[in-house]
Amino acid sequence: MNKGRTDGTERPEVETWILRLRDRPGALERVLSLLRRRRVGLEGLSFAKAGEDRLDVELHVGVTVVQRERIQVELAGLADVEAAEGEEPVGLRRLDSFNENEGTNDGT
Amino acid sequence: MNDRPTNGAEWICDSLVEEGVRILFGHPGGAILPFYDALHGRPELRHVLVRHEQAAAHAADGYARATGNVGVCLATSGPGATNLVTGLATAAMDSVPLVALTGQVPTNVMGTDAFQEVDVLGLTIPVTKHGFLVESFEDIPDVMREAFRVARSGRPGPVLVDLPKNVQAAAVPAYWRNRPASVPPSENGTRPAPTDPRLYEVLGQAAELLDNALRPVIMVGRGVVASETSECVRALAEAHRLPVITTLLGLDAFSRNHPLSLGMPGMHGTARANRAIQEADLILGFGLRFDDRVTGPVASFAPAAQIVLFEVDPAVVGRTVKPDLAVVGDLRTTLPAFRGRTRSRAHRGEEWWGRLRTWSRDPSSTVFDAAGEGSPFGGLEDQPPTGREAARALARQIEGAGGQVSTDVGQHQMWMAQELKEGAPATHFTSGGLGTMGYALPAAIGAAFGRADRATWAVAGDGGFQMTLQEMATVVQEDLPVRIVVVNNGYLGMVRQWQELFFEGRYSASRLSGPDMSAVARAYGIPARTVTRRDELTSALRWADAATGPVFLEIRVVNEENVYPLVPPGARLDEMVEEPIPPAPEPATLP
Ligand SMILES: Cc1ncc(C[n+]2csc(CCOP(=O)(O)OP(=O)(O)O)c2C)c(N)n1
Repeated sequence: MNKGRTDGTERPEVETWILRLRDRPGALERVLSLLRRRRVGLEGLSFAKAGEDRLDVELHVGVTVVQRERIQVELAGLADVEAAEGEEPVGLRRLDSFNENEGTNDGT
Repeated sequence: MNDRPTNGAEWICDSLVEEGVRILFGHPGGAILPFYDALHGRPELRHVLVRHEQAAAHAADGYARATGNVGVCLATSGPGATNLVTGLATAAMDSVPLVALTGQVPTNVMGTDAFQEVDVLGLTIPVTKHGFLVESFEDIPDVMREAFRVARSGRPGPVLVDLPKNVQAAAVPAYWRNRPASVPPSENGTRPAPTDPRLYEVLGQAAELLDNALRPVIMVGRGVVASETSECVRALAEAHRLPVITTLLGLDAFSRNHPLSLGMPGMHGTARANRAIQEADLILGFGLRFDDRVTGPVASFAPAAQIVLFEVDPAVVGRTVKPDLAVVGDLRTTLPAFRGRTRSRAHRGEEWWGRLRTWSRDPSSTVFDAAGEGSPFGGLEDQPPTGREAARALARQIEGAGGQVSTDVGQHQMWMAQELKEGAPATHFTSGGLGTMGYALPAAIGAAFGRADRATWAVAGDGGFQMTLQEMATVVQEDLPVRIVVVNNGYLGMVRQWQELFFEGRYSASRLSGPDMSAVARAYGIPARTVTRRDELTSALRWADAATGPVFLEIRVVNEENVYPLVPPGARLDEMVEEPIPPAPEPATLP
């Protein structure tokens, strides 16, 4: 018991996450604010309009395994983050996982 | 069908009425004037004019905590909006449902640094659950519905709606106004969240853990108050003879007079609660987020326990303490379902209870009992009461009459938390997460409107009181029977305590030379009394309780006194320091 009660000691890995947002004022900023508040290292960001009022966002983030699930859940809970079709948890897809040493910050 | 010509502001009022809003707390200004104009013809929407927008947010917060409904506050653009920020952050940390409406400069000048323009949506992103900028009047009904839905749903929180002046003033054609909104309405009060079918499997595992546990404890947080599941927790605890620990924000979820109560955990918690956590083999957490003031260093928290967390917000799970099992869902659903799956083992646990009873559940026994006039003060009746004595007497008076109380932040807050015992749901309001000084008085204003059937008290220190004391004017203007109590120790008491204990007594900027508080209250038109002696305390509190309008009481307490028990920063919960035994009273009139 009490194994891994914190996630402070784990190494972060860089992952790519895709989000679809409702393109409303503050939507993208809220996603970025959440990542910064939770001390997730942002390694890369790109986004593109998807139709009239949607935005597709690709995030390269440095997260520990323990952080990942929690932050994804929190991102999915934002009012402007929409479900991507057929994805679990809502609106998030883990596309890739790179080598753990690739230039991440400490991610905790 | 409504054919009356209207504008955006009136439409917003319609939405508020539809959402069940009856009262708003705010302060007007240029960019929100069209809305205030619409309010003028709306007697069904009562507006309370506060003297500072921070107080609007805290009052809406107090209203929400007291009633379970969404609190609404409003402010103009620029400085009005920025003044809301502390109140929004306070509500966000403590999961309080709020909707904040802010005026904004017209859309055609947005982005030009126009007079009183500030990006309040951007500014409040980290301290709100969500925010909207309404760019066109057509969006008003949908945005308003969504704002209330987001504020209420799941783990409740504050939502900002920024309203450019031209959107408020826009003429709304009748055919638009009667168009059905595309977002469905949500009911007032917080809503049960949908239930995940996998939940029942997890519940079975949780029940098994309880069935097998030898040293179980329940920890109760604000989620139980917000979801109104205190009764269910009590029934569960009684069926299994489970010890119950209540966090600062869960104090009013379970009576600490109950034989199963162990009291409050954490930095100023009881020995019984803290040691129980450290020795437990199972912790059932209900609606709490394991704040660091509760856990101490996370790695040393509850080293022998399996932890099962029942929580509505999956994002909270594992943020500090990582539970072994998480039951994510609305407590209104998960707690009864869990109870139904457990086998009653009330006969068990004698050994555990025997151990628990060896630790004190009373934070302090060194208190003169001021319950009765003329009670023995050991010849010290002309001395100022201690802060703890004041808190104990206050708690008795408030709870004895079924009242509700908001506290500020500091030593008095901790003493009140330790001394309040009854645990009637939604009767204790305090800024637990953000620790916002200045909260008590405005929050009491909101609570007094929300629950006019309860005697309302605001208890603050002399430091925090001076952060929002201007709201005495609001209390007077509304003729609100709020009993305002300032526990005056002449210091930023909690800061002084830390300086005494952890900075070798260097009192850097913690001494306060306050005004004559009662004279200030009288200047606002509030009857006031000052207590300087122990033996005046009880009669002064009775006087305050009997008031039918605002009253003010300053209690001048001992200057340098510390809150105990205390878990020093960085220490484990079981490394708590208990109250030093005081020296024998002087002058010694005792035999
Ligand atoms: C707005 C704000 N500023 C600063 C603090 C830090 N702080 C915490 S307790 C405290 C002292 C409070 O003093 P007082 O209101 O007199 O209450 P006491 O501790 O004496 O009961 C301070 C300054 C805070 N919590 N909130």
